[in-house]
Amino acid sequence: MEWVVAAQPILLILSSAALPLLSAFVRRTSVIDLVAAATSAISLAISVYALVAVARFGTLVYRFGGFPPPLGIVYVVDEASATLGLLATFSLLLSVAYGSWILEPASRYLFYATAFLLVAGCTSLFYTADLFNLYVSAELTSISAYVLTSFYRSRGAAIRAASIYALSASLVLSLLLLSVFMLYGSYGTLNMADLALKSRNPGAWVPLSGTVFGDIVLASKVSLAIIAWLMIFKSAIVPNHFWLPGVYMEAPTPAVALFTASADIIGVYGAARLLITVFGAGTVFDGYRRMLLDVLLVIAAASALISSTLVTSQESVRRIVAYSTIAQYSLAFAGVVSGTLEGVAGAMLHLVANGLGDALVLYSAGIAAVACGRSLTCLSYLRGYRVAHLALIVGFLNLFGIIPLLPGFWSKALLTLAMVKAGRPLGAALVLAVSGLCAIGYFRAVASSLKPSPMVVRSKGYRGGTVLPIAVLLVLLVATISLGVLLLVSDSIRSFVVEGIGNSVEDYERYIRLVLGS
Amino acid sequence: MPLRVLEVAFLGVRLQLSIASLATSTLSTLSSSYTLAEVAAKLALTLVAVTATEVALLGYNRGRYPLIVLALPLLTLVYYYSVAIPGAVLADLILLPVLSLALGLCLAPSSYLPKGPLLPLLSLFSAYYAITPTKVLGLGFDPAYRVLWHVVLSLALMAIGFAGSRALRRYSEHALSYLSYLRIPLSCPETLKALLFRKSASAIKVAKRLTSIPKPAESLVSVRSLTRELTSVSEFTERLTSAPAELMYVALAKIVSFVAELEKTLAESVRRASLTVVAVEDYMERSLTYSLLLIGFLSTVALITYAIITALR
Amino acid sequence: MEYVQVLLNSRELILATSIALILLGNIPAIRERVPGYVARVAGFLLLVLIPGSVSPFSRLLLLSGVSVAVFLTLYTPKYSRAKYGSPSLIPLVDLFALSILAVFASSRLIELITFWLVAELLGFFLIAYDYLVKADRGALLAAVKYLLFSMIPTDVSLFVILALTGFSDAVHLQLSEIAPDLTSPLVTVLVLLGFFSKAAVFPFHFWLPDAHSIAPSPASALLSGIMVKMGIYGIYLVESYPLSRDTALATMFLSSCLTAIYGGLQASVQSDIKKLLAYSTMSHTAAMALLLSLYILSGDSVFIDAAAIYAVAHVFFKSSLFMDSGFIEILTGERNLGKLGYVYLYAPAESLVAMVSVLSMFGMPPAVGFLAKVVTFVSISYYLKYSWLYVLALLVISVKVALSVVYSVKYFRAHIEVEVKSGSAGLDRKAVELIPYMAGLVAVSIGFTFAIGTVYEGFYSELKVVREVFPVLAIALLMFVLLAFYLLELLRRTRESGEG
Repeated sequence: MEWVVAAQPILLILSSAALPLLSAFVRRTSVIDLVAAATSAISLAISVYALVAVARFGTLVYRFGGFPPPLGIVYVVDEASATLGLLATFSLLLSVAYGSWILEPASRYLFYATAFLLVAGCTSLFYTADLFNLYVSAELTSISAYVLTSFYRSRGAAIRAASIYALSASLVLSLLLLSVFMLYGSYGTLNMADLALKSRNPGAWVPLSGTVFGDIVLASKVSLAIIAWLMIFKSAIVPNHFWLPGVYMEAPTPAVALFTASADIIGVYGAARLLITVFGAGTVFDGYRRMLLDVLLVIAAASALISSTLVTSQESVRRIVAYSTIAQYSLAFAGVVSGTLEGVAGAMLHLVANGLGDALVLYSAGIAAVACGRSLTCLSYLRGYRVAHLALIVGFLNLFGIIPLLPGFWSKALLTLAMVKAGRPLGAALVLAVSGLCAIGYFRAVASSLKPSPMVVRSKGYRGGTVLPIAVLLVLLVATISLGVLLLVSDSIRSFVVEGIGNSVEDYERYIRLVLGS
Repeated sequence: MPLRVLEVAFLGVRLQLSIASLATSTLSTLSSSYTLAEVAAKLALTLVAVTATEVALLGYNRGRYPLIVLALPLLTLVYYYSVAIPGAVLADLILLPVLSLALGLCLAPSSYLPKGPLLPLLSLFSAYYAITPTKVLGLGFDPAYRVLWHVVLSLALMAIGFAGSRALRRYSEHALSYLSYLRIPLSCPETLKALLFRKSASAIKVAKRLTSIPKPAESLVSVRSLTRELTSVSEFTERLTSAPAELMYVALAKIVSFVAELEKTLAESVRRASLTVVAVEDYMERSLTYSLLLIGFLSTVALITYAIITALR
Repeated sequence: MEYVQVLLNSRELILATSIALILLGNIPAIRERVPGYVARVAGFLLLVLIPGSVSPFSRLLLLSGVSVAVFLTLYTPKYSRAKYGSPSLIPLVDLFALSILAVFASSRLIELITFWLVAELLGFFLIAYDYLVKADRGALLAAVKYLLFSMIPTDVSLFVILALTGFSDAVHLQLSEIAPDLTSPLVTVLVLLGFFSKAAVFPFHFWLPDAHSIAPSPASALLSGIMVKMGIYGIYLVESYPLSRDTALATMFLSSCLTAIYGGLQASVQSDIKKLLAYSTMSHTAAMALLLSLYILSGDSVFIDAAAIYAVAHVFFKSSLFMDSGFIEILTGERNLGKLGYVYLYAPAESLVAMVSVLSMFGMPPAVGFLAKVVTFVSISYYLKYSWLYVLALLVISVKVALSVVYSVKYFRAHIEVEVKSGSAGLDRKAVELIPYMAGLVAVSIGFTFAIGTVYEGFYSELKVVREVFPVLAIALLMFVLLAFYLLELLRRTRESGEG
């Protein structure tokens, strides 16, 4: 039944095309909303199926059109891909639901269409085992992200943010295309497993692609550098983070929540897949690669520290989320490049925890923003909404990672373990110092939400129904807390995370065998 | 009157401590227990501490308070050394008289409390009694006579302490008055000047003030006179207690408060760093975008040129 | 009957029932009435029944902590109403106390870490409480300092220990069975510094004065009373794991000597009563850390017993002194020593209660402080001949004791000073309702001395000093009781003559 997984991006793309058409004929927006919700629900179901199937039967491999790799494109769904795919589609469903509440009816279909394209690109990126397909998916994701950023097109700031994002991201992605060309020119193949095999054993012969063409060492080194730079850009790590605060300020709330769980995590995933699985340990240019990883670790660490200090003084929830996301992605990136199993597993779990936490915070702050405004003092509007207030607090606690009942604690613990195992105990202190510094910002926000504020009294308030956002927040709360509790009590879930996800990235031989061997 | 309640409380506590100390020392001598000897020493030291507190809060010879406080570490050390080393050793020739003198100066009952000398004498004796159990045990006396020797030894030490403290009374008062000059200047030259040129006159003035405190029998005559007297002395004692503490504090605090300064500097530099980063961000945003555009444009031109050239070739 | 036994043996059930009772007692309708009080007190007392505690150290801390929590939960409603006009402080204080007690009652690493982190979180909000209700920015700053310099380093320690233990061991094995490998000197220092930051020992000591003096008094009583002991407990735990002993000894000895003296000196020059008590806490926890470092030096567990009993004594007298400072705050609205000194005129009973706490610190039998001082000095003097380090430790402790006399006298000047306040304008007489709770706590602290004797009988038969000292304690108790009765009689007569 692997074709179900391959159908997911296609389904999303088709729906994305269908929705504008539908909206031209159907006047009632509730129909559009329902169609969008149904589609995202189906894609969520597919992701759940994928994860369950991977957990029970092992990695899923699907060949498009039956063409054998490296000729055809192959989708490989292993533990890491399935987990991140589930995160992206879950976030999609929630943002569709929330969007149907907060966005204007007239332009909602545009949001849905673009969001579907975004997640189609993401899931395709997570599943693919072909480098060029990876590039295409990244482009698709990015373009959708630019469009979503400029959703409120009458606002100058939104256009500005989107333009900066678009220009800089396109340029960096073009560099990725360049590196894809270089790799093709030297290896003679674009299949990731094939590349993984040949980078370690240049003399290997694979049907349909033969041996390597030319000098792979130089091409690989240059490509690795470009890929590293791209992944740093996509994960918004200092110094390539400058686009993110603007985007997070200007995009609509459901779009930002979606970004944190899909578009912006492709950087960390890409780094893990390309730097650890494909061009990982044992390649002919291993010394260079190790040096590159060390440099990346330093960059990630510095980025985490800088952005966490920035969190402390922000005056709006969106900016707190923006800089906190940068800090968390930096920590995840540091986990990936630390070179340990727990680091990769912790990084992936950290992405999940961060996505959930950011969604909780953004969606609850969105209710306050609608009624009062975006500043921190407006958060105390939530005192009238118990569930939303609780969601805000739980979201921040999850981001801080201090309660073992929430997944943020476990991802932090895994990252600490990774640092200790890698022989860098100071790195462990760094992880905790960074989350502590971020916590200052988080707690300022929580304190503002607990204090009664005159601004709220003077605000216009919100008199509409809040069933939908509260329902979204409830689902998120249940999901977050159950994930945390499962991690606490269940050894098998924890070993799935550590060994399952970790090995799916680290164990390149299995990857090669699964893709090429079958 | 509430003051009376507190006085009785202090009296009761001192009585309790004295009796407990006596009982423990006797038990220790009878049962040859070194542990109990140490407990007795602890009780005697607690008695000294309680006496200091009482003197500072309620007593009539408040000049004694700083003396006791400054002597307390010395007392502790010497007590525990003498208790830890049983029997007679050479060091005892120095340590025991020093200890006796110190105890005498701290606890001797002259112009002390209005209720007559019984309780103060009992306290004093129990303090001396607590020094000697291990000495007696270590000297290996006959069990039957141990307590007797214990009492004799304690009385001997008490006599030394009593006599010595009386002899040193004048000097101790002068010492206290010199201590008062430490407060006035925290800079050296002034102190020196005060000490060299003004000591005799002021020392006598201060000593006179100390000795002019009313005698025990008249002390509870009127609250008002008491208030006046104690107010004038309380400022003085306030200075005496804080002066040595302040000096030591200045020295140590300079070292240790560096960390607190560091924390303030840290917060300030974090704030400045974040402002700088925001400014750099803005600048980078603009310049990076433009420079990337430029690179992209130039490389496109280069590629096109290269393509044209190779095509023409 | 067996079924009941099994139920009673279930830690989780007892803990859950305890939490339920405390939450029940906090329902707004009954919170400030008798049923609420009964529920909360029962909830805390139930914790005593938790079976299978890890060590005598944690058991002692749990028992003393429960006593403090019981009296605080009775004290806080009136305090909260009088100072803030609203009872919102009560559930925070109760849950905070509960989480700290749960830390001491934990038997597995994951439980310990969970409750520890929850306690830290609640501590943050309690320190920032004045910011939440009165927009006092100083409170927020103190809380941020606490977060940066106490929470983060402790988190480092906890997460490193968790990482080195492994997740499944942390979840399944008992605290005494795990063995994280802390032998690398860097890791040892990192972990110890984390616990130092919780116990406010150099170099992470400077958050404590602000945090403990700005928090509301019941919160300060818990923070200074039992929360800093969590740091000491942490140090005690890591001492039983493989460590780099030389590094640990050097770090602990140096830091604790410095802090003990620094805290005492700073306390002697404070004029705010709560800051004074906060610095005094710093000095005492440093003494406990010093004793634990002597355990590393000598390998003799009597130093652990000394630290444990010292900790218990400190729990009692520090909590009651902070409750006393809260009482003074409510009665006079004033915290500055220069403007106080007349409390004994209006509430001599409270001055007596405070005096008993102070005397306990000095080591008056039959209070717990006496036992603490005895075990401390006996153990050090036994080892005096082995190394000059013990002499240095004795010197530091005796200087600390002398300084404690100075600042105790200074603190007591809030109660007794000879200037008489003219008239009673500005005095909130409702504060006297708080006195019975403080008196109760002090009474329990007297009785606790005998409880320690029973706890130790079972576990350590080498702690002979406790048994030898028993006759002395009995005599002292008898005299103390007689004195107490006499003083009560005097108080009654004073009140009658005052109102007559």
